[in-house]
Amino acid sequence: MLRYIAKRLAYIFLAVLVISAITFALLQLAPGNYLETQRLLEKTMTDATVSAQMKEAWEKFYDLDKPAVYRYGKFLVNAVQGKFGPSYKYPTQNIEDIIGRTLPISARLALMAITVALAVGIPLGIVAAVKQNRILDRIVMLVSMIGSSVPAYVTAVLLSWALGVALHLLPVIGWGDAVNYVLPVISLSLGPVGTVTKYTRTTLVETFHQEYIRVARAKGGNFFQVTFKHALRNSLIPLVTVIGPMVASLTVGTVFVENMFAIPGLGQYYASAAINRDYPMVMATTVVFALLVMGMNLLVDILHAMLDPRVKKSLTQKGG
Amino acid sequence: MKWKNRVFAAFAAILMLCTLLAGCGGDTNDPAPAAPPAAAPAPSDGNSPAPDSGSVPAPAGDKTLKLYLAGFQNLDPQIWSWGTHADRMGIFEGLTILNPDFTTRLANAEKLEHDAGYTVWTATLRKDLQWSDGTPLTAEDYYYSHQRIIDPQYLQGKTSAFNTNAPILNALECQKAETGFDQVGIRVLDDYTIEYTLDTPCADFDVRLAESWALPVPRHTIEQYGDDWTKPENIVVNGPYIPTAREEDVHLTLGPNPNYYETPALEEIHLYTGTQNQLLAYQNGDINVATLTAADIDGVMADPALSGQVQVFDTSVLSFIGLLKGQNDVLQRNPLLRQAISLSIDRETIAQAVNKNTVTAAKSLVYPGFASWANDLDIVEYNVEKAQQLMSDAGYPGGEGLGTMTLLMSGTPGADTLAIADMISKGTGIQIQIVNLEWAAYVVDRDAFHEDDTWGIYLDAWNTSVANVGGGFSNYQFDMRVGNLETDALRDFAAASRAVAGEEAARQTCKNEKANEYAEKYEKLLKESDPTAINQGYRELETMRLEDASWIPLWWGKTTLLIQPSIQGYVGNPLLLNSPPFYFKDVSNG
Amino acid sequence: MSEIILEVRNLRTQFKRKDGVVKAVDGVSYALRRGETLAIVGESGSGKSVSVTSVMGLIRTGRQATVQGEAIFKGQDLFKLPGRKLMEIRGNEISMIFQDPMSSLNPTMKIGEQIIEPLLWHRKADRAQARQLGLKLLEEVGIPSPRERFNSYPFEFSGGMRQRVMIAMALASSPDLLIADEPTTALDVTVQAQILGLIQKMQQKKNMAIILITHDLAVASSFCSRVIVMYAGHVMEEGPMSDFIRNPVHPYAQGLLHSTPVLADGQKRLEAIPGQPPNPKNLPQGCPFAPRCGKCMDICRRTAPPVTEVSAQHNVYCWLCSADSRQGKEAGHGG
Repeated sequence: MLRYIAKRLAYIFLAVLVISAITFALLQLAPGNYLETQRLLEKTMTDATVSAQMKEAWEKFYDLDKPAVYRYGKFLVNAVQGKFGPSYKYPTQNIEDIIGRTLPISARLALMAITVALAVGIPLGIVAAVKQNRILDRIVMLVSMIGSSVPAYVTAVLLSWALGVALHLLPVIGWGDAVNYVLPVISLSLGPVGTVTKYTRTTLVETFHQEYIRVARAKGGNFFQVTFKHALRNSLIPLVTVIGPMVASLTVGTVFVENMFAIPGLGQYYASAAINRDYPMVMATTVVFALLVMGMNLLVDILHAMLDPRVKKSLTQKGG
Repeated sequence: MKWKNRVFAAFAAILMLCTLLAGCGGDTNDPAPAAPPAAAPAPSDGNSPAPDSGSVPAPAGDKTLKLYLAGFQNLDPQIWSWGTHADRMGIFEGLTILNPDFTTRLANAEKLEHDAGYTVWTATLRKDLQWSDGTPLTAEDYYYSHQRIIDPQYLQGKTSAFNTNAPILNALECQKAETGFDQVGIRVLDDYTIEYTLDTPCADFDVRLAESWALPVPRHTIEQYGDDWTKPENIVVNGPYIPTAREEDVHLTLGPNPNYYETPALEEIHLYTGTQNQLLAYQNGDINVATLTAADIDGVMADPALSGQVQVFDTSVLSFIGLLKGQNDVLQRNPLLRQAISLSIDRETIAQAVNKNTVTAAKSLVYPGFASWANDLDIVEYNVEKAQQLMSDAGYPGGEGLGTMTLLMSGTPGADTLAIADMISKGTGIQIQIVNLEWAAYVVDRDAFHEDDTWGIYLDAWNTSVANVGGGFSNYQFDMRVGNLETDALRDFAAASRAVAGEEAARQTCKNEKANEYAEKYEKLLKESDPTAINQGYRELETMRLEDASWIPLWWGKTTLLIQPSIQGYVGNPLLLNSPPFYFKDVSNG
Repeated sequence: MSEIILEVRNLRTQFKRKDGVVKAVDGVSYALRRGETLAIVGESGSGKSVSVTSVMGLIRTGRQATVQGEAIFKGQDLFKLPGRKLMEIRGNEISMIFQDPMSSLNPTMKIGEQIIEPLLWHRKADRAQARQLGLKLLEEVGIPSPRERFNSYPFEFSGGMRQRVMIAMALASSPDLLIADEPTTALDVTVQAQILGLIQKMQQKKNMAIILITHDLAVASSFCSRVIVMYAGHVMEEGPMSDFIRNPVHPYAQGLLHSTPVLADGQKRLEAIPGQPPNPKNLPQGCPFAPRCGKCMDICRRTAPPVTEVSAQHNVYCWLCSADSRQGKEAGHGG
């Protein structure tokens, strides 16, 4: 098992390397220059055209006067130590500090959304599977389909209007108190709830048709013993492999929600960095997100192996 | 299908249709494409359902101000970012502050004098000035602050926010590292007196002193904390409000500064950034000033409670048309064509019908708030007959022989862009192709020299932060020569890539008589010190410029705000996006 | 004679499908005594599995399936018991072994856990005791190194081993009745013999009644004392095994026996029964075997035959027998 993990980690390292190289290359090729976009984006600031001197000093500060290979190399050397230096837009802070402050928030949102998705989706899926093809099943599936189809920003606005303006239950912007979590988490979790429900139902229905379920019933198992001890075990193991990527994509996908509800997460930095051609920020966040996604996948695979003895056997036997 | 299945299918279909329609309401384009919000695009601004009696009844004033700003990413007033505006609004305070009519009144200074030639200005500080930590604020602080922003050693590589239009003697040279700061025209005469020496007469230097570059910064704090000096736990200010809490770039809280020489009216200020639908947040009471998008306006005006809370402010954001640079310079060579294009656009109709009065038709490139004559020049008008006549005179009757003109813009073409294209086509007969690009790609294309046959115009928006007539003339923006350069000069200009020196060099190779006349006149005007003569001079320059029509004004943006009735003293600053108040200390709420 | 432990009366199980009603079991009755071994024999589709799963209550009744009749186990009609009570009996007093050991065991659960589940669920032992019992059971069914194997997973066993595990699982709670649904069909012949021997051994030890379902007459005859022959959901013949083997009366039973290869018989040609079993949705009126029966008479096609007792405890459902008994064996059939 350890050999398997070591091998995976090596792959991850390689993959992140390749990703960073490709991202860097793409950024070099992309049209647009930070100074120019800012000059016009925020022309209201001043008419002061950055004098040639200042432009040179700025370029020197960010190593833009050196060849691209040098910059990439320096980026790698620093990245391995977890340092990313200052970004264009935030020259007085280090990017790793920004990420350190904001990534936990985005991740927290994503994790809460997943928890809600599981806590609501699995029971709903069970209900739908047990009452298969009856009215309840149809309703649950319709709701879950709507949930996974409606985009987060539409739900966010609708919920803000409904729970905020119409019912005066919640604030629609702001961060810090428990109430501020409600709307963003609900908006984020609707999609995952739909997916989890559908997935649980499908795998449960399949499992219910398995012979060993009949055996369990023949042994005198009641509904709970059969469903939870026997059926769910088999159904939920594959669900683990779905959740991993879901968390990763949610962490990245909190952008809209963070923007709407004024949440200090990493999403807003990532999004504006791309528009503003803030290259250091784009590189750093891309690498971090790539690591996150791949790390989640590895975790999930390990979890899967631990839960499913057949997979575990194959991993420990062959040594990965 | 069994009937039950059919019912379900119908229900699901209707539900999906509803969701689709809800998402499609409203157009995605804001009328003034000046400054796209620095975050994810706002996909469905028109999504909020019509506000109705569910909105919160106007609360009694709670001494807070809660609104969205375009940004406050870096609160160091000397490093360039939108945060410098937030600083100027009430976190730091300079020698003078602006009045809504762009005259000034005294702030940190208790006296401001100048010599007859407007080249030497002397400011005397109040004696009771303190930093928020109790340290006395003296002229030395101002000296240090100016040095920090002008002398390149201090901010090393970070973009300085110094306004190069402040004509302080040797300031530019110092920035370019050609001379030391000791040669710059700033002297401390004693603890409370600062003397500024200018290299050209500047009758409104007091307005320059009100800008964010001139704000003082606390030396002792900067030396202690370095880059972290603006964090709420470290920051020291001299303005009426001090940051008390901050969440990244999304939420900044300000509280009163107990050591400010007056007592400010508000007890708490909350600033937000983002693309939340502000109408929703306003109705929910989370903010008490909201910017409305064009899509929201109809709904708000239909609501009797809300429509009474609407306030509209003019802004100096100008949407205009510029010329693309390329091998095909037919527009640069034919002023008649340019005039025809300008004459074919019915700005009034677009302003009223298409943009629903969220913009005002522009008759000049100079903001009417800075010059009383801006709307009286009678050069920019809507006259299709004249346009067609000019097309014939130019040798392209009905647009024949010209080929397709490119209209370059950024973002998604809104109704107003389509209207412009349509009007130009109909008025001049020229075929138009709209090319819309993503923001940064647009910037590149707009400034590039097109080696192929591409020719045409681009749509852009611009705003000055120099609060006078001169702001519409300084730097290359709207310089007549740029629109009249020959091909090689155009290429050089584009290649200069925004390097000031390079652009300047290219401009000087201009061979067009009128344009050179314009440039000479402008140079002379900069040395003029008589305000009346200055005003007249600019008027003449503007006349020349508008007739030349290489920069065509379209309209001025307006900001439509919802403001809680209990809030008094809110005057929208036309120079800034979404018209925030000039100063927080002018605003009270209960 | 020991007491009757299970009596099934007129069991009918029907499934409603879109295009018709499937009468899987259409009037089956039999009785089983304590310690007795009963074989239910028939082709696939004859309804043998459905009949026992109906008795066990494993058919989900409702819109799509109905079970009628009576199944009286130790004096109680299983069909009239509430679900909970039935659950208490299942896996406890009545156990079942299924056909395919590969899919009958939960692949993600240790077999030890699966074996002791009946004990835990029916609260017959706490976990520690159950574990001890489980280990003993593993030993009894012939699984080597039971201590290690207790924590193994099904995929780590061979087919024969798995079936042994199934047996251990079924016997864990010492049931009064064991139903074995084709327990050896999926196994090799050598393993088959071992498994059957094991079941027999366990039965003698615990004096269990066993219902063995099989399509293999040879297996049935070596193992069981009574036999029921089913065809298309009906009982064709039932009786003591020894009687039946020597003297099958029903034409279908005769056909079955003749089509079973017997090594001692030398080169005798195998006789297959011509034709196919009927479509269960479209059962013919009258005797279901009529279309294939070589000795079919007119009345067979019209009316279902009544039961005739041809000797002690040996019943046949055939018009021929009725005719025989009426005519006093004039036609010369049977032995």
